[in-house]
Amino acid sequence: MENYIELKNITKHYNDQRIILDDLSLSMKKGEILSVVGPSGCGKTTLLRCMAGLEGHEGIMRMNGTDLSGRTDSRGIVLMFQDSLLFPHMTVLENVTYGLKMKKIVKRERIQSAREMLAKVDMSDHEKKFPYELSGGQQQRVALARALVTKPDLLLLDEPFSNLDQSLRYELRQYVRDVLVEEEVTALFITHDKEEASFMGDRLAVMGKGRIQQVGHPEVLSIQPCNPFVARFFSEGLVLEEGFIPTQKLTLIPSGSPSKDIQMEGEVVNESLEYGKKIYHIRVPHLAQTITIPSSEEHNFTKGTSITLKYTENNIHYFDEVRKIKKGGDGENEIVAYS
Amino acid sequence: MIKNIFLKTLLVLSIILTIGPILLVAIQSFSFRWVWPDLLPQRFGLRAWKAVFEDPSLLQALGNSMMITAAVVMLTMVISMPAARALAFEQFKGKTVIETILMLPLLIPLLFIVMGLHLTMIRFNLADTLAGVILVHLLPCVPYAIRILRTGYERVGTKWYEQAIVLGASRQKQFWTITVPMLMPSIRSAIVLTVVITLSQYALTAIIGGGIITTLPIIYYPYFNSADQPIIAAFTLLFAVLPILFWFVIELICRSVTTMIRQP
Amino acid sequence: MNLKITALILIFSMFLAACNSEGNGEPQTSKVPDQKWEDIEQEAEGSTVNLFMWGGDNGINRYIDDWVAPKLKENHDITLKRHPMDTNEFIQKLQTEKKAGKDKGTIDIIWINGENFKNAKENQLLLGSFASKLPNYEKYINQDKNFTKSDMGTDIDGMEAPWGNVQFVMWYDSEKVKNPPKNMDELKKFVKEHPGKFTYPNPKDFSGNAFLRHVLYEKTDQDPKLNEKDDPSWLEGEDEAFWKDLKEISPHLWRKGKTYPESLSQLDQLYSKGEVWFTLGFNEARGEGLIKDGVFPPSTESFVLDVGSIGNTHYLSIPFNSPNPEGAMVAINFMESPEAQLAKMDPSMWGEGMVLESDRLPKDIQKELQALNRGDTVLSTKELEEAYLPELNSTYIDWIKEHWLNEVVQK
Repeated sequence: MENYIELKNITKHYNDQRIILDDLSLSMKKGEILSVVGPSGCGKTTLLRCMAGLEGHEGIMRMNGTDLSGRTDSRGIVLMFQDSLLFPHMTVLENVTYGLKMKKIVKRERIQSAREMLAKVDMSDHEKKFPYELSGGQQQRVALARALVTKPDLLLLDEPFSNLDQSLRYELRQYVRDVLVEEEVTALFITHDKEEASFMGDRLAVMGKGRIQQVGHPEVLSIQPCNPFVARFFSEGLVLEEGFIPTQKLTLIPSGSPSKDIQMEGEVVNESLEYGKKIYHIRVPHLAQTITIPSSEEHNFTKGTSITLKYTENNIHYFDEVRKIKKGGDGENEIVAYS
Repeated sequence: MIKNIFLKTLLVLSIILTIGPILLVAIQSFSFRWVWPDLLPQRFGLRAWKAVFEDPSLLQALGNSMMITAAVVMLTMVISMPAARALAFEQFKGKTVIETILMLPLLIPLLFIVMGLHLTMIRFNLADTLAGVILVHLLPCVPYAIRILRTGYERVGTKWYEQAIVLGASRQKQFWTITVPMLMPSIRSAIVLTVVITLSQYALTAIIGGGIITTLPIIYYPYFNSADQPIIAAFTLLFAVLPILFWFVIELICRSVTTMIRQP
Repeated sequence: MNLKITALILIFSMFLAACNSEGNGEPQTSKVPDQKWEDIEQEAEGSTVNLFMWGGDNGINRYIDDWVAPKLKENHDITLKRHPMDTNEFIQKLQTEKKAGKDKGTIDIIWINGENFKNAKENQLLLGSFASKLPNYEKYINQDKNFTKSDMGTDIDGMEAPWGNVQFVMWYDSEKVKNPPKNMDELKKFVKEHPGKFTYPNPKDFSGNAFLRHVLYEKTDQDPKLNEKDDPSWLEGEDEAFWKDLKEISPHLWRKGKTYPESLSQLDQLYSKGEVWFTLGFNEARGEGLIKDGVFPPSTESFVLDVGSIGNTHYLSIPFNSPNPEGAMVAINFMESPEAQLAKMDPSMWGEGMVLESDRLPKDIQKELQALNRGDTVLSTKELEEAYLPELNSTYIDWIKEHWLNEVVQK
């Protein structure tokens, strides 16, 4: 299937100095929900603003084959911000009809569409209320209705749940995802929370340093990061210079136990509980890294104990760069050089 | 409880402080010899009001004052709204220079440049005309209006505009659906201030209007040069009525605009 | 965006214009009409005349609006429009118009005298010598009198026509003061006995300055050099007594002499409120209207100082760019007519003295003049005439202004 959204070599810098987006490329299929996850400051919000036409950029941006360098009001791209940004001087209904009014849709029709959309987000009873009378979750639902009622070709969501408390967030994101799937909306969702990213997205893109580092299904990303950045930010496991060992492939043994496998020294610095299971926080001085590993039946360690992590050569997922070199011939030596 | 009493006292005090002087001026305007420490004037009379209303240029002056005020308010807003928006939201070369220039009329008394202005106006054939007076009144009004509106834009911020843009609002639509309702407090105070400033311009009107364009201050201010308190008081009251009148009109317009915009 | 640029251009151009103040070459000034008077009158018929004058006195305004304007319309079909404007401002306006080469102005008649006349004449802001063309000026005004020749030391050369003669008098509240002080010795004694009850306006004010001119007359024994010489430098060394007395009374004046009223109107207000017991000023009859309007207390009386009473004349003139000099001349001529001058003396209007020679007036007017009651507070014509003192050369006004600050205030 043809790519519905195509971004190529998008570059953006402020005042000729700070580079925010660095030669970024990304593509999306129609009806797909793509999560973009990255640490704060990686440029993901700027990416959305460029796509929404709020900021200029270099590079090519195509949607459904047409170039998007035209004007904003005909783009068909709606951006939902972190805050709901419901116009405070308008009622819920007036807010939802706003986009349709701008499209010059006649009053009767736009009120009808708005009511239908409000029904879908369970806000029908609140159409006469003003935004300040609504809770945070309700406000975001109205904002979603306002965005969707215009039938956007692409919906951009900029961490829309970050200002809500956790239980509401879990409830709402399920809700939003269901509505997006039901309406078959092509959506780009950005967040700094990898759990939320994998929850919302059909696919997931890790963004860092102004570019997309890796795109794929969450499971793939978590065990096969393509570079140290993705490994550190997204995947869970031991990050070596040349590659990555996922947590589930690591075995924890008491320090000094004899083994044929590769061994790495570490120390239990803390422990915590997750889903009823004890989690060890282990510092690995050699790699200057702290990883978490669930406890096993075999051993029980106390805080401060020195331990050994072991894994085999086969457990290592090599980063793209190293793999390229390996393919290119006398790779063995190079790997030795890395370790 | 104590706080409540305190607030009430404050409220009563502020009412006395606003109503009091107006009442004093009102009594003064009807007074005949009112000398300290007398509580009330010795006699009351209509002399001062008669003198005010018998002035043959009064009607013309009122008409001119209202026309000038309406025109100055409109022009000031037309100039100041986009200028304030640009200063609040946009970064461009020479912004500080423009900001400084806009501050100048507030810092240096306009009277210093009134002669230059007069020469310019003569050259453009605008001296001694209503248009010239209106144009010159923009000088003290626009900087204030821009300052107020700029603060308004900065308070509202760009986020609402961005939301409107992504929902497909054109510049014009943004103005009516975002700027007007959200900046209404600033717009209102800018207009009120403009009304007060333009209504009270004496020197600029006198020089550029050449005495031919008679406004209320032109006939009113010379009386300050006299000891005739009742006439001053009567003119002062008349003078105070105009801004109130304008305020009503502005309020009416503001309200109807707001309801018009809020169609679903 | 476009509007922003427009706004900036607008403001910028005004600033530029403020800096660039060169005129457009020599202006084409209007000329004094040289037809016969009948032709001038005919030309003026149906025209409008704009009179620019200070507008802060209800009595004066009423005289123009309610008496002169309707009569002028009736007699000559001329519409007289009064425009209230301070003298400094219309002089400034004329000056700028001169610079810009505006040869069709908006002012036909100005009310002027003294320093402003000197200023206007020196800057060629006046139309020219027109006074002798006016029949009433020729017929009723005694051209041997000094006020037709010199206005505070400036040669008139017919460029302004006298409109009113006023004399300087003092007013006091007879309920509070029995024997008002009439010379500096008495004043020194009085202010020490009644501290805070006397003051005079800052000499920047014309009337306040006039009070000090009287003191200067007294302290120099009415030296004729005050009228003749236009260089006050001879006063050096001879002014000690003058400043000494002013310094001596200063701490006993209103607010201990730390501050002086900024203008005559401020002094009038203080007097009106009873804060001080005296006020002063030109126009011996101006107290009448103020008492009638309830501004001054009814117990107000007037007196002249022992040294005498300076007489001051004010004039009407025509600016260089008057659009209607014929109308202006007919209007000025009318304002110098016996009826107009008599009506002006009516205390219910303006009340000030006429410039016409009383024995040249028509018999009926003479009779009316004798029958006219100028009011109880106005001194008799005889008393005023006896006290009459000519005005000083206008250079002494500045001399007093400048030195007063150093000598009296900054001590």
